[in-house]
Amino acid sequence: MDAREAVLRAVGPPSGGTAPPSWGSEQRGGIAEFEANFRLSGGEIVGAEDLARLPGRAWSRDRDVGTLPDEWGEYTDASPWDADLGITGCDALVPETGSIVVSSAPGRGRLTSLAVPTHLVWADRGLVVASLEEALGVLGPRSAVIVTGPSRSADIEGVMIRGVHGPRRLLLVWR
Amino acid sequence: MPLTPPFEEFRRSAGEGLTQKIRLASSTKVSQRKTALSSAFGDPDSARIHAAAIKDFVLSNLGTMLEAFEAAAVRRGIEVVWARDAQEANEAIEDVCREARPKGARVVKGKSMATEEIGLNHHLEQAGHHVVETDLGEFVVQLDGDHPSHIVTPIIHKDRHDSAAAFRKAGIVLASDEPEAIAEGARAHLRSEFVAADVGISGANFGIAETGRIVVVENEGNNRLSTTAPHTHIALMGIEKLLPRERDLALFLPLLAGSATGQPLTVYTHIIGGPREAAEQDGPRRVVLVLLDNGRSRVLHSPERVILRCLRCGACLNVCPVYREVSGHAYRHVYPGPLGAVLAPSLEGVEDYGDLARASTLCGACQEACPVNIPIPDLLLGLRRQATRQGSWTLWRRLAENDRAWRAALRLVPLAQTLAPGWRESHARLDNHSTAAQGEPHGRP
Ligand code: SF4
Repeated sequence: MDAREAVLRAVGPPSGGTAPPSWGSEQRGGIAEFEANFRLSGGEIVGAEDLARLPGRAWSRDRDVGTLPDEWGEYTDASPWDADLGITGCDALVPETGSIVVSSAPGRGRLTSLAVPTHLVWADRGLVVASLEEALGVLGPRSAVIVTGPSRSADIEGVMIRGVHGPRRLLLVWR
Repeated sequence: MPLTPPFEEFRRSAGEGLTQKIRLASSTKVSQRKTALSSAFGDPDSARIHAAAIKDFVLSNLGTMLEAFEAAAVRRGIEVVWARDAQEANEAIEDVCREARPKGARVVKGKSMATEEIGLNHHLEQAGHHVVETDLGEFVVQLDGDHPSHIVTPIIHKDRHDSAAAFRKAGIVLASDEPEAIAEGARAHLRSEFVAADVGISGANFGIAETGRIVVVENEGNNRLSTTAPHTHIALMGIEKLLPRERDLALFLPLLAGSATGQPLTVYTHIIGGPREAAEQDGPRRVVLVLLDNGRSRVLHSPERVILRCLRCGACLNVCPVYREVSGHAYRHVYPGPLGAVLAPSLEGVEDYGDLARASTLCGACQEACPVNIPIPDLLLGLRRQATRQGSWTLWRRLAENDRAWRAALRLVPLAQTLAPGWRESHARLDNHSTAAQGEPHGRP
């Protein structure tokens, strides 16, 4: 008997029935709630005019971002590992948690939002959904990440540290 | 597998400072949990009860759920491997590492209790692979040759100087002993490991039966880097970790994050849909999911069945007056606290771990805190009865009779009881049980 068969046999037959309904969030947020909770999570909302002041070299391959303005600074083609700033679009914004959904859609790239010290999200107000449950419906067919604030750890004495392996700063600019 | 010297020795070496640290950290976590859950749910109790019902449905239909999950995962290009026990899981993972680099793979790991449970690092190192823990706390544990003492915050028993000393011993230069400097040291050191790694290994918080996707949550980003940068990603998941539908995450993610660390959601919720497709610019080329039984199917048919609802959030540790006094190592098992007091004897037998069922005052605080409403005090009573029959709770009985820590733990009971309306009933049962147990011959040193 192979392992699969053995485990399934040990687990035994199903008892049937129907799954309880999903929870069904009653949260109905909007843009203002998203902004407030995004800030609470440690994110910063910046204006396009602030972007030229961001230090270093930017990396982006995201079609949604389109042609990035020259005055945003210097771009690098090397790899996201060497960039100071990773720029992505996003797929949904969640009011109740201040989270950003970034799928692995072509061009978006997982490391762009991760290997860099600063992640900049270029977002459309129309992407604010009503609830986390609704956001889970627009994850896309492949992989996705729900980002809620900058990378952090409280492993050492419970002291909150920003930017342990992921970005230290999470910025959002409305387009 | 005993992890540390017996409790009393541990206690002597740890001293009062450790207890203070854990008490303080635990009470902060308890108040943050309450705030987060009431703002996420309004009525957290109905959310906990609903989550328990969904997990019970999964457990009642586990076979069909596993088959549905497997089929959906395979359609996405995820390779699914089944493992009856720790040895099969270790061997399956070692095979994949060897395929990635026959002469010894470079492996980066995200935090995973399941990999601790099977002793994976040891197995891979024996086989010639180079394994690096990348979670900050787990990295310190690895540098120090220590064991985690909490399932969410592994170095709750160490202060900044202990951690910094572990770095220096390993030759990693730090600017100071400040937490920021330690994190910076880890970040700088581990970046080259992520870039060079052949294999990334993670656990899995949830598997979605409907879509075959794997969900991993974390705060630092190391788990995402481990599952994204290397060529191969291996995830180890207990068979009980399934949820029926992706939209169930709307309930389970805030419950888990709120209960574990008081956040609305963890910083990263990674939803893994398989290896990179042609159009995707990065991500692993190969994704292997190992489904681990290792005693779970036996627990499924035992009186402790509902412990399989567990999300590994650690809330029951944080509220437990006994855990707070003795810390995680005293439980001798990878799963400490009230969770471990049930899971260790159910997985490994009351002969070796039945004494852990003694490691509770039955105050009820654990069940009250549990996001899936596991009746831990009732399960502990059942295990005590089994252990009494087999005469195997010597250690905790000794503790109960002699140790000042136990008395200190008992002093905290009234406090915990005010949090737990169900305690009176449990406590009454405990009293009856104790009276009845006095006549039995076993267990006195
Ligand atoms: S038993 Fe409940 S409270 Fe304890 S770790 Fe598991 S889910 Fe969390």
